[in-house]
Amino acid sequence: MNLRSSSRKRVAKDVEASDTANASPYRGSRAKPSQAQSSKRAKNNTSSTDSKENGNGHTQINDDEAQLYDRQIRLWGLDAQTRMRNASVCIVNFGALSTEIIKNLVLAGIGALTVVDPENVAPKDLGAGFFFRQEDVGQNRAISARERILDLNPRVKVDAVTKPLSDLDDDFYTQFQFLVLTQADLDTMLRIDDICRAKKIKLFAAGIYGLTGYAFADLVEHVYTTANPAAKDDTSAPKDITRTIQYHSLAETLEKRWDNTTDKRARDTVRPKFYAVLALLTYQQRHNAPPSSSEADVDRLVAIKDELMKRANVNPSFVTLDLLRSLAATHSAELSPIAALAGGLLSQEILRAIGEKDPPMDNVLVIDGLEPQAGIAGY
Amino acid sequence: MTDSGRLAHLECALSADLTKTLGDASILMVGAGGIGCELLKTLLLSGVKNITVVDLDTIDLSNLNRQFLFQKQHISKAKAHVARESALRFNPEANIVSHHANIKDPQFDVAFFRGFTVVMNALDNLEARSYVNLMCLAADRPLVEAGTTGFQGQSYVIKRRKTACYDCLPKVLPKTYAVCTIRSTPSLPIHCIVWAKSYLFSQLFGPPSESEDPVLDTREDEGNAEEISKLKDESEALKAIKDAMGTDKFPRMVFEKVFNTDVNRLLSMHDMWKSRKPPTPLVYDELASEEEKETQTRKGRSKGKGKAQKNAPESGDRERLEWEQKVWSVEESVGVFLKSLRVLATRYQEVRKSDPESGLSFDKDDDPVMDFVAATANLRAHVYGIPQQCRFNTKQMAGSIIPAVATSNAIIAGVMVLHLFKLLTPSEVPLSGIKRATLGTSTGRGTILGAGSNEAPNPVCAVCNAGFVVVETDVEKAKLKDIVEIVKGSDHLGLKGEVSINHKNLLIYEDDDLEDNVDKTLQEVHITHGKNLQILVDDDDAGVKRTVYLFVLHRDNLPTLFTLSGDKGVDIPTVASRVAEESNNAKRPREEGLEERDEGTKRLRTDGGSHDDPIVIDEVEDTIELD
Ligand SMILES: [Zn+2]
Repeated sequence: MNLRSSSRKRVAKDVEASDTANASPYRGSRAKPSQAQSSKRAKNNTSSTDSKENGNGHTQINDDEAQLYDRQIRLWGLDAQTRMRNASVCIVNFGALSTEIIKNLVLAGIGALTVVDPENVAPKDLGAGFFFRQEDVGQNRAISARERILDLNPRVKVDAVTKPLSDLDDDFYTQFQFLVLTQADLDTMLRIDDICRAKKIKLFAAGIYGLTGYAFADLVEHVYTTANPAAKDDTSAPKDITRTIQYHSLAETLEKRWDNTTDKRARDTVRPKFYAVLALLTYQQRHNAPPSSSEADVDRLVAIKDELMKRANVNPSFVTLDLLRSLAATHSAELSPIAALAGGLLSQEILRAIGEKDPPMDNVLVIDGLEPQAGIAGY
Repeated sequence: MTDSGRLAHLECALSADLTKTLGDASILMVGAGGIGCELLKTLLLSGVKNITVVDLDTIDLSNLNRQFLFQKQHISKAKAHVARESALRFNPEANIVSHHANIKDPQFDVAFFRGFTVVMNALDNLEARSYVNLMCLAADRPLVEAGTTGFQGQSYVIKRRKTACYDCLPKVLPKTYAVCTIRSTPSLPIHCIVWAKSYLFSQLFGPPSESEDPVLDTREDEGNAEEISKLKDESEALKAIKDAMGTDKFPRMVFEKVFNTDVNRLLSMHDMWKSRKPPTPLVYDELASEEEKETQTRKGRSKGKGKAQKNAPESGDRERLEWEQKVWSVEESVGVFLKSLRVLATRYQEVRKSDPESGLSFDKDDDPVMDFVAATANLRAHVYGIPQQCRFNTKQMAGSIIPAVATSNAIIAGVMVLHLFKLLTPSEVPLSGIKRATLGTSTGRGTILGAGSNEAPNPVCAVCNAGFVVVETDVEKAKLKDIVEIVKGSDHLGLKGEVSINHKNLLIYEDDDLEDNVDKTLQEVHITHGKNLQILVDDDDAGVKRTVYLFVLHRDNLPTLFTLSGDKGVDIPTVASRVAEESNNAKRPREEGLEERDEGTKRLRTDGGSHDDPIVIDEVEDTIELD
């Protein structure tokens, strides 16, 4: 199960050897691991034409909006739609994945969106999403796209912030109910999760790497309504009931231990792949750079994976060498179909969280684009 | 080699060969709606450069919550063209051809389908899916099939003789209701809604041809003769009331007839209510508002048109939304019923002034029509002690509205493109490695997108277990006997057995029957360019049957009478006669849709039925009405 990788050598003990049908179309010639994402061309903090409105004046859906959103109101109801109408979401880093999330949330009719991105449009961004044009190259990504985001749904308030995350103070986040980090490194995610927990802001963090993707949710304490199962048999019972989920922080999630490696849930096809992503993120954290597809880097990545999985008490062979090879070779690729998959699945969870109807993901979503498969596991 | 531009992400993850193959491929995308918009975007961002889009639809306000290539200023423009223009804005180098047309048009013939590497369906109905399936079998092109409904979706690949085709698995037919359930003994809200929409509305306001009770199922086992004749009496009486249309008395007359007189008549049939809860007639004087009662006695007032309805806030009002979402009281329903009757009566009379053969047709987005159906259904539900529905829900059921959202379409379009990656690298991914992907509703934990194995062809499928042959000929010269020669002649297919030739399930020739037709030209039997013939060859001696689909392409000035391509005689699969007999009733080719069922078994149909289809789910915007 690998993507393009420098070597196709299979190491028998590390291979789960189940899916022979999955020979990959993605392998090929030379690996290209370059990762030059550290550029800091931050200009000034952007101005946006609209002033930020933060009030608690709950705006009601009107009849025109009900017509526009008719097909989805039939899915999640008017109350959830009204909550969306009043939700304020911040999304960080404008890549392929955030392109999909932004599109989905704006079409669904959230109240306000702020995009934080210090980067300028590079030629390769033209192949990662549909908001950028040739003439935007060299301009800030968030500012270039702002008008085009508005075109998708002029009812949504859209702001662009061009400062890097590191320049924003903790109070910046308090204006949002939801924060979505994309393609962030482990230290940033841990830092922001602490801030969000303290301020009771609901956090989603997600990334796509070649054919693999993941999302993490820390909604701190989340209250939602759902259909009352008792109402099926007892018509006098209330139709809906309220439930609460206590979420785990990212730090807690990384410390998760499975009771026993034969745990059926730990063995399912999707779940262990989170460790492949974690190995990649940990590699980045330890080496201050992502792995290349060189044998040496892949060996180091395998060692990290083994370490993480052993610590979590999960059999390390559940993550194949092929998967790590392909991650090492292709992690910098933000593929449109994977962005569509991961962005669609995550957006649906974000919207469910905003709508406060039915339980949102708890707490890690893993996307395997090769099968393709996706599932949520509680870590 | 490595392009630092548009293709940088792709080249990092895909092999150079695949990136090139994607750039060279030519893709036919059928449908530019919910899945289509997402698919066009994801294809272009995946290095596909040559795309042809076919869609017959125009853009509607209710599309804009998910079809992101369309905006408010595009409403009522052609989806195919606007999708193309919007996509070119972010990828100006792409080569996109758009057709605002029906994929079943003869211009999209087998030769057209052969011009593509892969066909991708982004359709919203069974009929078109089935048709594209057949064309892909004929052209021998892989088809990526997909559908979504609400949070759910599915996508898989169809390849001739390698995987199941779209018609290999039985589809659930649209739900139908026995006439007596609808007319006399409803027990569910949907029964009342069907009655309001398909019976009362069309009886009162439909064009004369339609108001002859198209819903009456006269099969004997459907109810006793006495009841049928009573129902006929009812219809007669209703026609008499129609003559009063335009007078102030009309709404009251309709009310009293359908909610009182007819109910009392049914009540008098005691046997019917031995094991059922009997209905309760409504009394006009108890339920109509004082204002309503007054209008019945006032003379010469101007009717209906332009008059604000007290109970129905205007579209666009804040109260309107609340009003549509709550269950009305009986009095409110009576008010809406009487007022919408008046508005519709005026409109009906105006329409008939210009064309006496015309009438009104049901349109879920036409407020007075929908008001009438909602109020009528609720009053009928009240009569029968059935729970009433808010107008919002009634509209969903009456209009067969399928909930839809951008996310599921985006996910499924992403899966389709991942399928395409694999299809274009057959040496590395066998067809069995292209899984059937199913998207389910998330519950916060567990699998959301699952990959299952693709199905093998159904050996008795009447659609794909057949030969596919293309004949190029001059339809004004070629005769049916030439077709028989193609089938039997040893220079051609060389099949043995008794031949019957059908077009759209209509028999046009059979050995020893309809032989008069043998000298008719294809043109004379209406077989023109783009049409296909379904030819059954029954080889009694060998105990096998064969089916051949023959696709006709009209050509002028051919050097020979015809040229053939596609399957040779030996390629054409056989079915043991006995098996064919058994499966014949269960499964029929449906290229003509579902309308052509026997008159005798015609039943009330509520919708296009696509959401009743468990196999492939649809992105259905406005389901076709098949009543
Ligand atoms: Zn079939």
